[in-house]
Amino acid sequence: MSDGKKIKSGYSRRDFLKVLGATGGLAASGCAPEIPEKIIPYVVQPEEIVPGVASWYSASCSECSAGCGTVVRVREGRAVKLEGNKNHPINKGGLCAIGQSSLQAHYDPDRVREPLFREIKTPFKPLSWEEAVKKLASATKESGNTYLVTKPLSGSVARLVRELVEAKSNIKHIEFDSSLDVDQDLAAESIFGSGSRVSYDFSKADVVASFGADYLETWVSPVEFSKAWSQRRKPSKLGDVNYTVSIQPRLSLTAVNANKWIKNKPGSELKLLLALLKTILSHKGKADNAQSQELVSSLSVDELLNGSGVSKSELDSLAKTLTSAKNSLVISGGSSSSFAGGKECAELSLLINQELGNISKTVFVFKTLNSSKESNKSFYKLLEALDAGKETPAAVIFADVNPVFVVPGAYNLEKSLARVPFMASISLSMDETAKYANLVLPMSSSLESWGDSEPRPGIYNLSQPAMQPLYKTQSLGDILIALGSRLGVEAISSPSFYEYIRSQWKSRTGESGFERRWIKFVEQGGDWSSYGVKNLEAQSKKSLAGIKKVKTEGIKERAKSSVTKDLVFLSYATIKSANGNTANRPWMQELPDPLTTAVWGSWIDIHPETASANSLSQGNVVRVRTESGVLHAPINITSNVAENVVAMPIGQGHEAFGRYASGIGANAFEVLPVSKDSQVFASIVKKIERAVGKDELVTTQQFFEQFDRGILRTVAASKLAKEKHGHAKHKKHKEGEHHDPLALGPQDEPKQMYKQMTHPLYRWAMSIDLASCTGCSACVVACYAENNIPVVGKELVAQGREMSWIRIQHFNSQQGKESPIEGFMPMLCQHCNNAPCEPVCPVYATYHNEEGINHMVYNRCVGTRYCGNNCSYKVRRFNWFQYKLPEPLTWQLNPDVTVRALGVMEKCTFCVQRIRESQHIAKDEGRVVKDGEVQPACASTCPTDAITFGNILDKKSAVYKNSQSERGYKVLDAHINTQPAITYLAKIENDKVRV
Amino acid sequence: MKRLDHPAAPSVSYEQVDEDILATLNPPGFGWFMLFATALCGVAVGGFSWYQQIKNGIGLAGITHPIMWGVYITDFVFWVGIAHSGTLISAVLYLFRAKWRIAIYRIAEAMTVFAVATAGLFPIIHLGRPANFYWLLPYPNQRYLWVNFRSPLLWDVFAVSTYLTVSVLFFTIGLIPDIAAARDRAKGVRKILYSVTSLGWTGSSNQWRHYAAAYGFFAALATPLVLSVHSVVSWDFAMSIVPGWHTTIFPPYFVAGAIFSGLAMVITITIPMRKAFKLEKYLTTWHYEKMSQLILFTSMIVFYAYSIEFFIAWYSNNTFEQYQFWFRPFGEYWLPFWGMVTCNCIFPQTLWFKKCRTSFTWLFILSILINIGMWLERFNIIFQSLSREYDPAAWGAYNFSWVEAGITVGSFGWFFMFLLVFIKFFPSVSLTEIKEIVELPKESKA
Repeated sequence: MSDGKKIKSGYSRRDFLKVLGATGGLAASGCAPEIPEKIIPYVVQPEEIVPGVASWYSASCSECSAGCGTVVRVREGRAVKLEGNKNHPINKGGLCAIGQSSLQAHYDPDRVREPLFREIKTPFKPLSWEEAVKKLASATKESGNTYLVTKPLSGSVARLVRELVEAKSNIKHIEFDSSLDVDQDLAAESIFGSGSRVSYDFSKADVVASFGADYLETWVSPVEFSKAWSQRRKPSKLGDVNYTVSIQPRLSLTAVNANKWIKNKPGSELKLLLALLKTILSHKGKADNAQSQELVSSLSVDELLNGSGVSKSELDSLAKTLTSAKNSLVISGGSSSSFAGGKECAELSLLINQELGNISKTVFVFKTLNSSKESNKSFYKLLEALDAGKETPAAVIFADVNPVFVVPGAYNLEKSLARVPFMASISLSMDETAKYANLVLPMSSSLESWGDSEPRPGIYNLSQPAMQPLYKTQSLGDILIALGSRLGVEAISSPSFYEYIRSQWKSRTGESGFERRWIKFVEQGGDWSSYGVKNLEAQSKKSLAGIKKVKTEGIKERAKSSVTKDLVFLSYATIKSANGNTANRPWMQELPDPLTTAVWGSWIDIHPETASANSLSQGNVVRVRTESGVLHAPINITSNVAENVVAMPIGQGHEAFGRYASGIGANAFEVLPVSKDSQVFASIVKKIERAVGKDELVTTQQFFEQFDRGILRTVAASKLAKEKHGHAKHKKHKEGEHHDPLALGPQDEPKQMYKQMTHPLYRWAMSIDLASCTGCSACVVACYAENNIPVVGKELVAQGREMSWIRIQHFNSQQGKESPIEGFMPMLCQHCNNAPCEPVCPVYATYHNEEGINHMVYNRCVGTRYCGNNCSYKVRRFNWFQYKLPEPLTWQLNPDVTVRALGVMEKCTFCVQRIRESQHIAKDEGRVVKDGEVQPACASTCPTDAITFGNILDKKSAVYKNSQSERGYKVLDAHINTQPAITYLAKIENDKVRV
Repeated sequence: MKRLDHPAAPSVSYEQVDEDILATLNPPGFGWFMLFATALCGVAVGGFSWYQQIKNGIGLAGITHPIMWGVYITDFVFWVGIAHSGTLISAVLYLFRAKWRIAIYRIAEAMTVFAVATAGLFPIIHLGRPANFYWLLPYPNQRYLWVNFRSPLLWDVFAVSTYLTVSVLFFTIGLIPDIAAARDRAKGVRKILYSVTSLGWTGSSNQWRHYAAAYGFFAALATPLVLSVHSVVSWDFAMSIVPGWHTTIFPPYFVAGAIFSGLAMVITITIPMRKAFKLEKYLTTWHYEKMSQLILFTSMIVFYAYSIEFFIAWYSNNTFEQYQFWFRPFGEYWLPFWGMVTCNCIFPQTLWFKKCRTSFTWLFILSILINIGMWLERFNIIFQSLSREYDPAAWGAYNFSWVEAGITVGSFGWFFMFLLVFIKFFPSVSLTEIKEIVELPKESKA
């Protein structure tokens, strides 16, 4: 060695590590048997696993039927974070709150860990998988039918079930999913022929009219729709701003984000659609579809509108706006389907779309192989048969469904199921249905198993296991294969479900070069090479030609019936509840509902007039009685529901399912009536009265007035367009001149008294576009997951101690605005250049670095909380207690982020761990971090790309461009000179179109 | 011959002074034990509450987002305020040669020392991680960690610790000749105690000369502290940007308020004391009239400060400030605000009348009301401001918890425990200075 210095210094770091490694190796190889705990995990390190470096595996989200692609971040063999797959054609990188939270379903501490069996009325006893499958097989061999009830299936597992059912005639397959909007599919089939499906492109629609469909929250494919919708909310060309109308009895998140909310009476949707069709036709003159003309010819608009709560002028201008728009879109679902008649509404929407010329522009029609959409109908038929004693099955197998929780209270499910001699439940956790079962087969989570699905023709999702199963569990496919082989079904004999999937993919894509293709499919999470807009347009045009004559008796019949004047109980799914399967995820319990900001529980929205008529006041616990049942819940008095409606979110009120779910809130299904064709989500209230009860409505925000403080700002589209012409927006302020604190656009830097921070290479900054923020709260859950944010529980949230680093706040609109709520706004640490929190910390636990990040050193914090008091944005959260998670929820903790201790302050770090990771990579490659390379958890999951992050010193970066937007403003900066790093872009009010 | 014809000078002999004042050191009676037991109970309640808070987390207190300071900081400011008048009376009035201070300065100084000792606990109690309190001290360490001299909390550390040091020194220096007098009469253990603490005082002219000089210097040294401590404490608020805190009037306003509450506390303590120890000769209505006048004066300063805050809020045209000052009298928490105004501004107006100034019963009641009012003043400033800051979406409420109540009770127990012990061990009225104003003893004929 020529380098004298090196020799002199003795051990170099490298040598030291070598010795350390050798010693460790010796210890591991048995020279020191007395200390086996010191064994180093990877003596021969697997090539793909490097401690401290994450691997990413493509998968797909199985929370709803939308079929979003995901990528799973795995550290040291544990899945720690989910992200949307940027290349996936459906979600394009976005992931909703429920999708983000599915990690907690995987690490649910109350999962079933091994097969369980019991005789009647005895406790469960564990047994081996072999015995369990044997028991299942022998039960299906008994005389009578065996019903296999699953979620709507697609892909290989659907084929597996089909082959099983074909081979064994006594096994019947029923699909059941209460949350599924089957009406869309039924309507598509009745108009365009069997196997037809529709999809929508919101990005092309200039005007959207939604009859109850919450397309930004839960309806069909919310992430995809939100993404497309958002392109028309923050447009590059101002004329492109879309105009959306929501017609529904309650102000949903979608209605808040619409330009206009028309409050109709529940059950009037079908009549409104007919009236709309008639008005459109009268504007248009001649109908494209003679049937449409015929359908409305004998009806009068006035009669149709009678009792609907919608005025003729409103409907007229809606029709005018729709017909004058180049492309429009009319949809119905959600609350339109709440009462029976959802299918007819969906049919009418399609007919209206046809008249407006939207098919193949904003509405696409395609054919699918998975036809039978009897779904829920056949399940309810089975229940009725069981109840009437017409059917005595040998066994019922519930696979990944929880009917005991979601079946309406009108059914006596307990009694019906008691007639079943053998009931098996294949499920993740001990839910309400599993509690009834004789045999519980623990299912592997989607992160532990292979799977594939076909959410839409041309899109084939492929999901690989991101980690080893936590417990003795198996995937549904493997269980069915094991059952098949026990029953001697040749068609599905396969060594494993993995092999079965491979064989399916091989037969679809061809033998030659399959191995290479397969690796690519697994890597990218599926195959969507044949999917494209051109293809969809062509198919839609073809479908349009082959349009069928619809059976209109149902429509005509319903058009005659009058809209109910009784008080209606309306239940709805929210962005946090789904159909109840998120209830045992602490993140989802603690996630505030965007509109009420309620956490951990149920509530009933009630109109002030209705409340006073029943002498109820805010927070009262009420008893709601319908034909079908009774429930108790606290009320929330709000004018955001129609006068004759009480609305309640579904998903709470579990009796089993786990420690976080059980005993929280009330189950809205309890009071719902019998469902015939599709699931009904509304019921007539017989009585609502004050009840004795302690349930409390806990909210995270109590004040919704802004007092002209300019925190959340809106700008009229017409005003923007005008200013754009002048372009010289950037006007200089004269010395001493008062600046307008509510001015938008880039502002002159005020004269500073002190030396300002300098940023040599990076200055991390963010922009948040309020025009496209829907309040969906995906960012909040993503932040919990990425940053190990503790969940504190209902009692502590009631005390204001929630820990979320982002809060989605909203404010009520001023009088005279079209929407009662001005908009949503994610509020997080602003990383002020002139941060008020920094100078007040006595120990330098919070300080500014030269990359513009306001750092928080947890170890140094003594907990004076002065920084929190002095933070003008109130985004600092304090650890009032030591919060603990049960195993294995702790496995989800991000190893790159410190778990904070009692008594320290914490807040948003701009995901500094991700910034550092990118900087390390960039440093190795001898460059600076590129724009878009670092995405904090909130920005990367945002379904509408409202959040942009980057280096604002880079004049080409997206965040710099946004910071110079004419809509840009910094919250409170004009008042207190905090110089936030976050630029908010004002929400655009479309004042050019008015309904 | 009377040395002074002054209302401050009681007409008693030197022997009588020794007799009367040293009688306070006689073995305590039942009443004292009852009071002491009550104080100890208070300390036990406080100790238990603090133990629970350390064990379970600071969350046991009612403070929460967004009101992260509450009762503890209120208590801190309250006790620092109480500590204030002691130094004012002993040092400032000494330099001004105000005779009425002589009879009360000792007990006022004792009150100062114990109040600072009580106040000093609160910054530690309120920490999220109290075991790390010493990180606020700038001590050299291997990790090169240093404190942030820009933080008003750090200024607090220096201000309060300096104040404690100086007031303890000033207090003990003043005590030396009196302890010597007690030593000369004491027996047994007390004799040893007083011999040690009187530091060999013999009463020689030389010692008296040095003593008088030292006392004068310390009085001069302590005087600026009277202004600085509470100014620094007020900067905890004034240096921040919270609407309702960020104001330049705070330092004088806090100093006046502190003197106001400190004098009230002196009255609260001395009225029962003069009765119990039969010190009516030394603490006359004249003394109380003087204190009442000062209370009236400071009450009006405080009243002016309150009013000016409202004026400035209106005049500033600052919407956040305006909302805050609308909120205090008319918002959800109007009760503590109007309680403060009633106790601090309205009731003291009675002191314009001689009848009220000379009524011990009324003065005793008033002094307690003033301290309730002053506690509420700090409480209003702290929690009303924090509950309505810039972003209405983050506004919140605050609920008092039992732990905070327990620790507050404990702080009173702690304070009175020390005070009761002091009264029984050291002369609560200065023998030395009383003797300076009473008639000189006749020369002995020998």
